[in-house]
Amino acid sequence: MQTSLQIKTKPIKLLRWRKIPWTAVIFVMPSVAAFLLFKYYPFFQVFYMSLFDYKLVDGPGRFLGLDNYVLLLKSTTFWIAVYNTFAFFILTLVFVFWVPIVQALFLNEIHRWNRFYRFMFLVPTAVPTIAGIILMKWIYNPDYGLLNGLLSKVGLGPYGWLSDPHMVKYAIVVPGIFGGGLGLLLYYSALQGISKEIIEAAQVDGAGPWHRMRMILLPNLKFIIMIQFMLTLAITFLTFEHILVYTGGGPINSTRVIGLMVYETAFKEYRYGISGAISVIIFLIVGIITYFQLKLSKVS
Amino acid sequence: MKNRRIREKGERSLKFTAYLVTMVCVILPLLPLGWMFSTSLKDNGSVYQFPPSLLPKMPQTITITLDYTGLEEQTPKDYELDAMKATWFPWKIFQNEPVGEVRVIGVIDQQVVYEAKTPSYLFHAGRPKVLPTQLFSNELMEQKLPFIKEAGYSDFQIIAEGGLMEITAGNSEKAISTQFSDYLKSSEYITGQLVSVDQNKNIWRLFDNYLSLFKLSGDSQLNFLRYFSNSMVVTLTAIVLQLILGGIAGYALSHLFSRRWSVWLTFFFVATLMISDNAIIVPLFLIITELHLVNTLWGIILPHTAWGLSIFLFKGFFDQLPGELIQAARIDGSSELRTFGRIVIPMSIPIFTVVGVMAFIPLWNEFLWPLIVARKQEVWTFTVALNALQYNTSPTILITSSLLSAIPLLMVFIFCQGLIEKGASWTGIKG
Repeated sequence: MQTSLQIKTKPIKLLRWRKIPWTAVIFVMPSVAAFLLFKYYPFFQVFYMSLFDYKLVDGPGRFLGLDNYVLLLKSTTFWIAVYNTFAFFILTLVFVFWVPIVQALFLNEIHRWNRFYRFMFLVPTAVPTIAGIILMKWIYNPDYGLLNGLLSKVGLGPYGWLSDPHMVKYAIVVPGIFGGGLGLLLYYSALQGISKEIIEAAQVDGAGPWHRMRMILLPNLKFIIMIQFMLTLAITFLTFEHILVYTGGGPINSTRVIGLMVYETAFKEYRYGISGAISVIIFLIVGIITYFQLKLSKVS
Repeated sequence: MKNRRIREKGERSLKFTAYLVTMVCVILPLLPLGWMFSTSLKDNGSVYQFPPSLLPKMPQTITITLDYTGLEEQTPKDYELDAMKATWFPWKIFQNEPVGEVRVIGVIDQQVVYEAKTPSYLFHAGRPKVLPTQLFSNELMEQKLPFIKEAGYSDFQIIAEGGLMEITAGNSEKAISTQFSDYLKSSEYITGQLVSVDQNKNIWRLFDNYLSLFKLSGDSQLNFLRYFSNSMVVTLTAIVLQLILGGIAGYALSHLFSRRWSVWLTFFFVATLMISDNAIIVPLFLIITELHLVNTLWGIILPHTAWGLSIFLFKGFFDQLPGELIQAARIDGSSELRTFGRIVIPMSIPIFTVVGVMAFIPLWNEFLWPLIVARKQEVWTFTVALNALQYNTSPTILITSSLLSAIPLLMVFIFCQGLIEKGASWTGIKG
C-alpha cells in the first residue's frame, strides 16, 4: 500500500513543479514590466540620484555621498519650504478637511432628493483643477476681479490676494472647499453602511438625533477620516501643481513648498541630485507621520 | 389626530440644520461657477470693467446703410471693398464695445444692391491679421480682401433683384451706432453716402466666445480644439490600457496563480500606491527621455499603465466571481484566454466601467506630468495650455475654454453617478 502511494504522488508533484501557469505569467507580464519600469526603477533611482551630483549626460556624475542632504539642511529656502508645507497642511485641516465630513453627516439626514444633492456636490468637482485655478485667479485679480469688485462696494480693498505674503496661503487653501465632492461620497457611503439596528438601539436607549450623530455616526467614520487624513497629508506634501499655477512659489517664497522645490531644482536649475534628495526627505516625512498615525489609531 | 409616532426632541432642529447646511453647500460653489459662465459671455471690453458687472452686456447688431445713388457705376469688387472698409475700420477703433455683428447694406435708388455680414467671433478671429494697427488705407483693404474672403470672415452678397427698402435717414440715438456713424462720416475711405447707422440687440451673439474657440483653432497659440483632443486621446488611451493590463493581471492574480504567488504579486502591485507620482517625476522623465518619447502623447500615456489601484479593484472583484463557472469552462476544454474573454469579461462589465470612470477623473485633470513631457505646443494637453497661456490671453477666451473643459467630467457625473459612488464605496471600504 505504502509503496504504491509514493509512486502515485511523486509524478504529480513533479508535474506541478514543471507546470508553470503560462497564461497567468503572460497575463501579469505587461503589468509587471510597467510597474518595474515606471514605479520601482524610478523609486530606487531617486535614492541613487540623491547621492550624486547627477548629470544627464555621461552617467551619474560625481559621487557626493550625503553632501546633497547636508547642503539642503543648511539652506534657508529648504526650511522656509518645510515651514510653508506644514503651514499649508494646518490650513487645509482648519479650512477644508472637515467640510465634507459635516456635509456628509447632514446629507445623511436628508432623504428627499438625496441623489440630486449628491450630484450637486459633485458638480464643482467637474471643473478640472487647473481650470478652477484660472477661474479663481480671475476672481482674485486685484484690478478687475470679482472679489475686489464686491468688496469695493462696501468700501474695502483693493487687496492683492495672491501678492500679499500674509494672505496668499489662505487664498490658495480656501477654494479647496469646493473640491470636496468625492470625499463627501466616501463619507456618505460609509454612513450608509452603518447598520440601522445600532441606530435604533441608541434611539431606544434615549439618545436624541443630535446625540446619535455625535456618538454613533461620527465615530463610525473614524476609519475613513483616518484614511482621508493620511491622504490629505500625502497630498499636501507631494502636490504642488496648484501652487505652481497660482503663484509659482512667490511672493517672496511665501508659498514655496517642498514639492515645488523637487520640480524647480530638477527642471529649472537642473540639479537632479538635490531634487532626488528632497524627494527622499518627503518620503521620509510622509512615512514617519503615517507610522505615528497608524500607531495612534491602534492605541485608541 | 396625533402623528403616528412621537416626535423626538431635537429632530426638527436637526432636519432644519441639515437642510440649511446642504443648501448653503450646494449653492455656494455655484456662485463662482455662475461667475465663470457670465465671464464666458462677456466681450473683451466689459470684462475689464471695475467694479465688474455681474451680467454680460447685450451684444448689438450695427446696421450701416450706404447709398450709391448718383455715383458712377461700381463693380461688385468696389462694393465689397466699400462694405469691408465700412465694417472693419470703425469696428477696429471700437473693438472693445459689445458689438455682436456688423451689417452693411448698399442701396441705389432705394433698391438693395448688396449685403455684408460679419459676426463678432469672426471679426475678433481675423482682427490681428487683417488689421494689426489702426493705420487704415484703401490699399490696405485691397490687400487684405482676398484674405478675408478666403478665411470667410465676412459674408458678402450682391443682390441682383433687390427689394425696395424704406430708407430713413438719421441715426438711432444709441451710443455705439453714434460712434460708428461719427467715424464713417469723417472717413474718406468710404465711397457710398452714409444714410443711417442702426443698432439692435442680438442675443445670439452672446455665445461668440465659444464659437471663437473653434475659429481660433487654425491659430498656432490658441488652438484649444487641438489641446482638448490631445487630452481626450491621452485620457482614453490610458484608460483602455489600464483596463486591459489591469483586467488580465487582476484575473491572473485571483484565478490563475497559486495562492502564495498571488499574495506576493498583489503586494508587488499594490505597494506602489505608496509611491507618489510627484516624488518620482524626475527619474520618470529621464526614462521617457531614454525612450525618446519626450514631446509625444505616448510619453504622457505610458507611465499611466502602472496603476496599482486598478489591479487592486480588479482582483477584488474577480475574487468574488464564482470559481465553479470558470472551473466548468476549463473542464469543457476552453482555453484560459477563451474563458477570460467569453465568460469572465461579460460578467465583469461593472468593474470595467467603475475602474474606467474612476480613472477618467485624475487623467482628465492631470497637469504636472504633461507639463514636463509635452514641451511643444502640438502635444500640449488643455491643462498645460491653460497654464501656459494664462498671462497673455484674453480672460474671456481662458475662462470660456476652462468652462468647456468641465463638460467631459460633468457628462461622466451625469451618466455615471452611480458608478462613481460604487467606486467610492469600494475604495473606501477596502483601501
